[in-house]
Amino acid sequence: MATRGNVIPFDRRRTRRQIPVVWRDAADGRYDRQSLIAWWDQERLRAARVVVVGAGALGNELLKLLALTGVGSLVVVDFDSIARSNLSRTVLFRDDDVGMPKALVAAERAGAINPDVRVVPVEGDVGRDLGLGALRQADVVLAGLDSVNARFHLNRRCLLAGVPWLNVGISETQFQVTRYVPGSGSCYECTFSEATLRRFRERYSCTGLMRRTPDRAQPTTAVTASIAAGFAVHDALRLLHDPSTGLAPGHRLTCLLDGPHQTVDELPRNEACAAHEPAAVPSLRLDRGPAELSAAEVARASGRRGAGAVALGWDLVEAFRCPGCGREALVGRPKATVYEDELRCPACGAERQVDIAMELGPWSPFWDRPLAQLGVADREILRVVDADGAGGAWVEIGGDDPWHPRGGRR
Amino acid sequence: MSTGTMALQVRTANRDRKAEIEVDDTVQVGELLDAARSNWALSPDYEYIVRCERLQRQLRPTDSLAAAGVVAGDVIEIQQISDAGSAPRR
Repeated sequence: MATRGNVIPFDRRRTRRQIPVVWRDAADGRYDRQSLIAWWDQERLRAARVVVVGAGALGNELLKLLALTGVGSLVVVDFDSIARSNLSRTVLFRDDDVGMPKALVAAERAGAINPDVRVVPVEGDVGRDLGLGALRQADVVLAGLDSVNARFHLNRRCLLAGVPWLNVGISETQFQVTRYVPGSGSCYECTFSEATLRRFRERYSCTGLMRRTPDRAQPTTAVTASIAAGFAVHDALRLLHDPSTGLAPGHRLTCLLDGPHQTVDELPRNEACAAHEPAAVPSLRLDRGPAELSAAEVARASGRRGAGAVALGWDLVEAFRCPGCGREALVGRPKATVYEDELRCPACGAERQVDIAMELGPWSPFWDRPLAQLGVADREILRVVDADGAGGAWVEIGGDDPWHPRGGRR
Repeated sequence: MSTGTMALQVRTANRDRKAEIEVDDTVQVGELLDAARSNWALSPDYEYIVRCERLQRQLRPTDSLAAAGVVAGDVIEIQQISDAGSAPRR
């Protein structure tokens, strides 16, 4: 073979014969194509736990993609039922589903996409009905919500749980995906403006009770929802593989489909943000759930000699008092489930005053009441506060674990 | 540090509207946003933020343009916040 200097001419026939490369035959496994991606780790995804909040247009698409890619454990949270107007944007819903709970139907249909994936529905509000102990076990939360208020509460819960979340929002032909990571970069509340606060307060009366406000029907399409969910799930997959990849903490991707134009911006972190609290790390776990435990029992079980009260993490409406006829009615419901029109006294028609508690102590009429009756979720983490207010401890209560359901969960 | 008046380009993120402006750098980001919303009659149904193209950063409404790091010649975008997601309830 002729050579020039140190250069050895490339002999294609020789190379083909001698390089010991064995190309794997194309297999037909469910995940073979995506496993060809260099950074992909199907086992990591199989072990992953992801919460999807909202089972509307975005939630449907998020669940579809997470199920297809084989993310092993999914929890979907939604309190709403399916309306006919949902059907143009919700790939998992059918005409016969109208009136059914969104979370239940979405979980069933997403689970049917891939038998390797377990999808557990939680019919309720993410601010209260998915226990903080369950939320802490998630690797990431994906939010396809439609209100500032729901995002506000989710942000607070994720900060307490120490879990990153992706906020996805859509409008006509634009979408945004923002990655929030507790302790790093901006949180959702850091960028609250006066306009955001106004919209937040629209949902509440002067007494802080819920207003029955008509929902704004926002213009959007299945196309925008689908593309937005695609970007969000891609970012979630990057985060699950390596949190240093994908969107940086406190950064927002904005994509305008017409153009198209795409930007990624850093959001300003507010060091004085009221939401920035240390994560709730339980120092004690109780086997009994909220149906079997009262606040008094949680305080006693905490073993703290100075335990004086139990903070629920949200406001409880304890009672209505009527200044007109003097009647008092015990309520015992989360404030977020009590509407301002309930203030009207059924006996005399006067507007009643409302007693709201953030903590339950021996002075409360609900101190010995099972926590489930007050709206406390399974696996919630409660703060036991010392009587002198100087200290306290986080206690996780038991109950159903959505990541290990016993015969499913409704 | 204030350097006085500067020239900026302000536009909507969807590029429907744009304007060359001269503005004092002590003007707050929120004031600039209010002026743009008013001048272009942007929809009151949406919330908007202000971003700087060069800095690739959302600007705080309470910061002055100078404090936000905006300099002469910058392109400032008024960006709509997308916050739909779940289908509207009945």
